[in-house]
Order: sequence, then structure tokens, then C-alpha cells
Amino acid sequence: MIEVQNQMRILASDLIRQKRVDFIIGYEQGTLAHTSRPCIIDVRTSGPEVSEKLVWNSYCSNNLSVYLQKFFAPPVQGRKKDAAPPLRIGLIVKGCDLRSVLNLIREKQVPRENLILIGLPCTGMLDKKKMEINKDELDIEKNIQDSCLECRFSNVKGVDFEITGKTREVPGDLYEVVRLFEARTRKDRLAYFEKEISRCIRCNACRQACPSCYCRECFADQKDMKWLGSGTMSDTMIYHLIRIFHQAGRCAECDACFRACPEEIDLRTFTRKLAKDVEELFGFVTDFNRESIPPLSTFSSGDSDSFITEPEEGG
Amino acid sequence: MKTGILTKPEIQELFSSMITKNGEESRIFVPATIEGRVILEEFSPEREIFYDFANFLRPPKGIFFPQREVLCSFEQERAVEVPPAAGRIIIFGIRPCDARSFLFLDKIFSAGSSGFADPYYLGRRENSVIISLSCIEPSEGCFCTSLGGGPGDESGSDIVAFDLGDRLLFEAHSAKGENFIEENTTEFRQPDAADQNAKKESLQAAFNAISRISTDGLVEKLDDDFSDSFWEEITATCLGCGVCTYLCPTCHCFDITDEKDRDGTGTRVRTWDSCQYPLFTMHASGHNPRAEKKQRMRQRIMHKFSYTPRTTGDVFCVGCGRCVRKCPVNLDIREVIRKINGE
Repeated sequence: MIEVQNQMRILASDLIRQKRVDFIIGYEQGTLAHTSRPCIIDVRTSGPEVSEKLVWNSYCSNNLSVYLQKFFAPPVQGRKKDAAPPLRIGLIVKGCDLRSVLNLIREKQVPRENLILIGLPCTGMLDKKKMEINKDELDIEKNIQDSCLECRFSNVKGVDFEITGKTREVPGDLYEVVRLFEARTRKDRLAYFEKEISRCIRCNACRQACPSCYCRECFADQKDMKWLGSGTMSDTMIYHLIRIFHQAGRCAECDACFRACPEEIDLRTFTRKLAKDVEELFGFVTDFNRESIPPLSTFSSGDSDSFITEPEEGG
Repeated sequence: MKTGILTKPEIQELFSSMITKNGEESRIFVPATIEGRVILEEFSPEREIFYDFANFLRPPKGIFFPQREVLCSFEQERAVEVPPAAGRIIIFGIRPCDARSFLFLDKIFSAGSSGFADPYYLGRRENSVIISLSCIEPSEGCFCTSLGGGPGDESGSDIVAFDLGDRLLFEAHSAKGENFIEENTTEFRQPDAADQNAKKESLQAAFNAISRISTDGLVEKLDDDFSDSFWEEITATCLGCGVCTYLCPTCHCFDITDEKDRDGTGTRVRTWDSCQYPLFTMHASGHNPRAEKKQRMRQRIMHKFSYTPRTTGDVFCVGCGRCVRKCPVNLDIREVIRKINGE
């Protein structure tokens, strides 16, 4: 990993020296143990030595693509004719981050030509919570984040610069957790959803950490035509149901929502279930293919409608 | 100062006997575990009090200032006030930092600084007894000693309890606390020199583990015209969620909304609000004076370290470290203060 970090720093300093980027988004050392955190470096005002700040280790979990959209969002009054050209962003990406970036490109939120994507090999990120529980556990596999355990995209594709190295093997069962969830009765599943959601404090961290949640005005925040009330259980459930369903065919399963949640609500099972449904019903996976059309952006008369059921059925 | 010793099983018994005592009902909140999570939970005799934890994820402010509270209901022109819940509240096992936060919330919700006494908060708060539990193992990110607190600090506590392993040493620090020990005096035994030594040792170890920042002259430094670029720099990676404010024991901003049904009936509800949300300052015109996150973060820091020191005499931060530990991008308030200090 230290070798990947060195190569990443050299690459970043070259990009800065050659003036090919205006910003570099990567990771830096955090203030707590076992913590790396996002950093956004304005390289127009700093020299190539700033790349020494960048780190790469098993704590680089944050999905950095969440910061991209604001660089390219049109201003409220519309873009002026003589406005400065859009910025060029150098972005450090793992497989999941890259798939989020591609989603933003597919959805025309971010112009590909303004990005310099630096792909790193990922062996899975460590879960601080698991590390706390498994105090004496030296087996790294036991402390890997759940999302990484089910990841089949640790080898990046289609980046501008790729630093190669060890990556994760594709796991045999991609949807183990979801299958367990699906095996439960409908009543049970609803009870589980309610139990998890009951801890929600409506801090919006799941939404804010998600690269796919970029709506300028979230339905949850709309005041003129108010969709949500002041935080009863029913309001909170609506918030989560809509947030989760908006992820259909868009979620890169990076688990940024789950990691951001202070209450550790199991958001993962629900988004993962959706990913499985989208894959099985529409044959779509948020993979490295930039040209594919996400299911929510298209339709065909042959689309599956097997998910439309009577409320009483299947209980 | 009244003191007393109880073993842990005796505490369990004491609280069991107090849920209903002399015709008075008490709601007792204690540390408990539910599915591996340590939370402040309402006590029942079957619920085992849990001691082996650093702090709760959530601050205790919600007991006196719930996240959602109905203030009144209405039907066409007629409003019916919903009175604050009555009954005694005993909070056992919160850490001294959180107990200290009640002193600050008291200033906000009592008539002192605002001229308006909040009956909902005060109705619960005035009928409460706070028994805090001294800190044995502070968490990473704790910095209470820099803000006037400490692992055995008594401010805000009626009683401070010190965990000495199999037993607890109780020390009363208010008339309410003295009464509590007095009322239950048959249960308590008097501490001896060994108990006092054990207390000192545990405090010193905890004290040494707590990180420090300097807040000297911070109010004046914040008066300096901090350029936008400073706030922009520190909030570059901020996601704009409400974790730091909702988990903060002293953050107290709220919103009041009327929720009306089609038939004209409805409720007036008070809910927590967060200065980190764009809607917090959104005007009806559509203009937002704090449209950007740098302005919102500046408000958060200024409110705690500049405005409240001026209006109430207190820095509205107890150094519990929740915002440090739970920020999804590790935006560390200690680091922000150090930067303001020019460190």
C-alpha cells in the first residue's frame, strides 16, 4: 500500500507541475486513530509538494465523488457567457468511487473531459466498528467493511491513470445478506425496516454523504408543497423509502450512507436489495460501462412488472 | 458534602424501589445495552444497569428537550394546549460533560438570558435529579478539561457517582442531591480512605487521557474579521449533514411548525433544527443569508465560542467529542479552534 501511496503522490505532483488540474481530491491523515479523511486541494495556489499530504491506506473509505457535482453545478442565475471555463478536477478513485463518478457522468452532472481520474487498487477498507468489537483480531478479513466483502469492482477500468496493485477477489456470493433478508416474511421485513429506521434522528447524513443524492432541492426539504412532516415515525419512513428507491440502478453500493449514519442504521440491506432486484429484473449493474442507460432513465414495453403485487399477497 | 457508598446490586434495588415511592412516580433513566448499543434508557427492575461504556451516542438533552414535541393541538379557531409532562425525572449515569450541558440549556430555556421561560423544558427539568457517573475511560476526541469540565466535574450534577469497580461512591453537590442521599440514607454506607484513594486514582488516569485545546482569548480572536477563505477552507469537505448539531449536548435550536389536516384540525410541533441545514435561515422570499456551508459552519462555531460567551457567559461546548467522533468526514472542531488560535 505504501508503494501505491508513493506512486499516487508522484502522479499528483506531476499533474500539478504540468498544470493539468485545478483541484485534486484525495485523502489525508485524519485526527483520530484509524482515520483517513477527504481533502480537496486547490493546486492553483500550491506547489507540487502539496501531494505529500495525500495518503492511501485501509481507512480511505469516503466516496470522494460526492464533492464533484458542486464544481459543475450551474449557478442559480444561469451561466454567464464570459464565465471562467469549468474547473479540471483530479480525483482519486477506488472501484466504488469510480462507479459513482460514471453515474454522475451518465446523468450529465459532471463532464468527463474535466476530470482526471486516478484509479487505485483496492483490497477493501477496514471497518472501525468491527475493529472495536474484534479487539484482538488480527485477521484483517474479519474487519473488512461489509460493502467490500461483496464487491466485484475493485479493479478499476476506464480511468486516466491507473496505479496497479493487489485487489480483492470477486466473492462467490454477491448477495448473501440480501438473500437472508428476502427469505424472511413480508411482515418480518417490514418489522426489521421499522426497527432500524426507528433510530433515525433525521440528521440527513445518509443523503449528504451519497454522491447520487445531488438534487438541488431534496423532496424532503421542499416547503412549498410539503411532502414530509416534522418527524413522526411515518415521516421518517417516507424519507428513507424515497431516498432508497431513488437509488434504484444508481447506487454504487459504496456504503457511504451507512458509514455516515451515526446510529449505524442498516441502510445497506435495503439498497443492496434494490441493486439485486435491478440486476435480476432489468439486467442492469452500476458497473464501469459509461454508455449504459440506467433503468430509471429509460423504459421498454418488455420491462418486468413482477414487483407490482397486491398488498395482501406474499405476506 | 453528603457522601455514601452503594454496591452495584444495591443501586439496582434502590432504583427499583424508587419508580413508585410515597405515591410519587419517577421516570429513571440509566445506561443500558440494547443489541450491543449503549443507550440512556428508562429503567425498569428487569433492566440491568450497564457500566462498561465511554459515553452514549446521543446526548441526554432529549429528555428535557425532545426532538419532537407537540405544544398544542387546534381545531378551526380553538387551540388546546398540551401541558408539559409531569412527574419526577432521575437521570443516572450520564457523564459529567453531559451533566454540565444542562447548565447551559437551563440558561437558554429559563427567563435569565432570553426573558422567556420555557414551560416545557422547565417543567421536566425543575423536577429532575441528575446523578452523573465519573469518567473512567474517556474516548478519543474528548476534550472536556479544556472547557472547564473534567472526568469528575460536578457542575450540572446534583450527585456525582464514582465507579470504584464493584461499588459506587456518591457525592452530593446540590440541595437536591443532599436530599436524595438523605432520603435513602439507610441504604448508603460511608466511604473510607480506600474508597477515596480509588476515586482519586481513577480520576487521574481519565484526566491524563483527555486531549486539550486552548480557548484563551477565543472570543476576541473570533471578533477579528475572519476572511471567507478561512471558513471556506475548513468546510471544504463538510457534507452539510446535521450530525454535529444533533449529537451536540448544548445545541438547542428548534423550529415550530403547524401540521394541519384537511378538516382544519392539527397540532403545533416543536422539533430540533440545525444551523447546518440550508432551510434554517431560508427566508419566505427565497433569499437565504446563509446559503453556503462556510456561512453555516461559521454560525456553528461563532454561536458556541463567541455569541453565547457574550450573552450567557459560557462557551457552549462541553468537549464531549461526539461531533469529533461522528463527523462522516472527520471535520474536527478541536482542529478548527486550533486554526483560529493560529496554532
